[in-house]
Amino acid sequence: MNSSSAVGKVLIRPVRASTWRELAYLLLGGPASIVAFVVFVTGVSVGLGMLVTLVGIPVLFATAYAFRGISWLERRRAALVLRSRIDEGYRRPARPGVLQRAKTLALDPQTWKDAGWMIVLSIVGFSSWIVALVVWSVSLWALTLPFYWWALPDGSIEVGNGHEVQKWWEIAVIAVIGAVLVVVATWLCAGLARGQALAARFFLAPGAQERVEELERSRAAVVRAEEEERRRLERDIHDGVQARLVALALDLGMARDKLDGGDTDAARELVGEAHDEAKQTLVTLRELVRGVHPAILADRGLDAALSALAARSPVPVEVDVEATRLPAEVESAAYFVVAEALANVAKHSGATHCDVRIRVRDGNVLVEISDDGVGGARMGAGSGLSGLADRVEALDGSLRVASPDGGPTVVVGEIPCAS
Amino acid sequence: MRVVIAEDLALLREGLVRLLEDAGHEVVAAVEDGSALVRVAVTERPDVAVVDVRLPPTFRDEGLRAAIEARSRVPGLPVLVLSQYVEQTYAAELLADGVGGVGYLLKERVAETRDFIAAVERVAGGGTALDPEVVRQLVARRGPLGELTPREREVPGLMAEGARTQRSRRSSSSRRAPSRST
Repeated sequence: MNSSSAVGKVLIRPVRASTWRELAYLLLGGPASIVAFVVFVTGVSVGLGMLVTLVGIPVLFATAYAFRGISWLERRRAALVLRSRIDEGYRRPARPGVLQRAKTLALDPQTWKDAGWMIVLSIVGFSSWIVALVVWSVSLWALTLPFYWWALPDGSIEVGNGHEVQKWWEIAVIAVIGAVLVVVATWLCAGLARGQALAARFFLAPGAQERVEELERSRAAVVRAEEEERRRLERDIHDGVQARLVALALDLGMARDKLDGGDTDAARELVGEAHDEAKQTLVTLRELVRGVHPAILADRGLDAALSALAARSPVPVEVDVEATRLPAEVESAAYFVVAEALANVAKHSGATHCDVRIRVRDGNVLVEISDDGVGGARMGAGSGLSGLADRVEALDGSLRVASPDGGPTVVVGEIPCAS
Repeated sequence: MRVVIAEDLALLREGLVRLLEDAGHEVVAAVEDGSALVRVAVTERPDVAVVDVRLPPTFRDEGLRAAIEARSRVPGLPVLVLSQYVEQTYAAELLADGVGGVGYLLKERVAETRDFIAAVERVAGGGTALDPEVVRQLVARRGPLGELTPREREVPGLMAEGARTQRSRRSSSSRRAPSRST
């Protein structure tokens, strides 16, 4: 029983979806290896060659950034085989400035590991590509021979040492060999693809040390973001609800004095003002509570909560949510990214239209907010967006802002979700 | 009585102006931040300044600093500081110069309009008005006062809330045990 099911497993391999992903992985590896090779050879040789004139230094740094770009693609290519994208972990400069950036880049072990992968990819990626191409074309040629051998010019075909194949059974033997080769090719490619992808992970995934640093950084950022959030909340309560209640109490106190003095008209006016204050306080309080955590998000999920948010926005917003319920912390982070982005759109962009899109791709929630405003948004320290970036990064996600002067602005958040 | 007010929230600023004017006092200036307070204190020489602790631009203890600054520019300027929260540390800073005419009250005390007006007038007259909450904090501190009997503990409390004498102010502000004979 066991042996027959194992044989079945071997034979079923060619029609499994993973086979095609592995083949795609290897075939994409060819162009990738060529690009890596060309960038490596030109970047490093030009950079080192011109090092004495100092022009080489920026060339080398540009090359390192090119490696990052290729590595970025490579992490995604590996997802074809590994079923999840390879994590990325670069050090970030502690302070702004070109020198600081250069220093961080040079000292980041990942920079050197990227370069290492360029070398390995040049060799392994290219050779695997050749092997995959050859085994697949040979086996498919043999397998499909019965379908077209009769159409060949002289009804025969030459194999190996000049032997002419003409008989139908010889063709049949070749077809059977082709069928066996297909199975062999799938297993061979599976091995090559897996090996290459694991090697890619070895080079491109952050090491334990980098991971620890990343976690420490994101933890500190979360603490900072929370501290800022508390301060903001305290300010809102102090300036909003508390101040209104004091004014309300003051009005009532004065009204009582007027009543004691027999001045009912003045007292009535003051009570009326107090009444307005009380109603205003309720509005302020409701908005404050919604800002802390909107009840509709917990009750009905992102789509409903974002639609409600859009309805309150002064700029027309189109909401398109392609997701059912997600983990609460992911929904919450996505919601606040949109809320902050929409607040910025209303305050700064001068936009006339805004699009909010939520998508789930490869286990990641993509949050995209785009507007047709004037652009120029920056994710500087202390801005609402950078606080949100911290929050998103704490969930192992990322937040990017593309906002050239003159617009348009696009904010993209990517949050991994377990579901 | 000529009063200046420093309060950044328009709602409360107007409420205070109306309350004080209803009580027959003249509000000579109502400003929004600490530096403006110091300026009008020097130019207007009011009888008393009513100051919110939290003012722009920092929204921390700007008002308190401005009040202390104003008192150093205009010696003896009576100042009544209002705050959403009372901290005895702030009270101690205000009282530190040992000159009278200092008040420190929770903002919500303005709702007790008569008591509030009375406190403003007391401070203007060189007296002290400390919020019962501050007094509670001072008294609850572990230390010399903790060794007093409950009845004895009430004494500095009452003195701090409204007493006029230099001696009693010092005893509460410096947190030294008042002499038992008080």
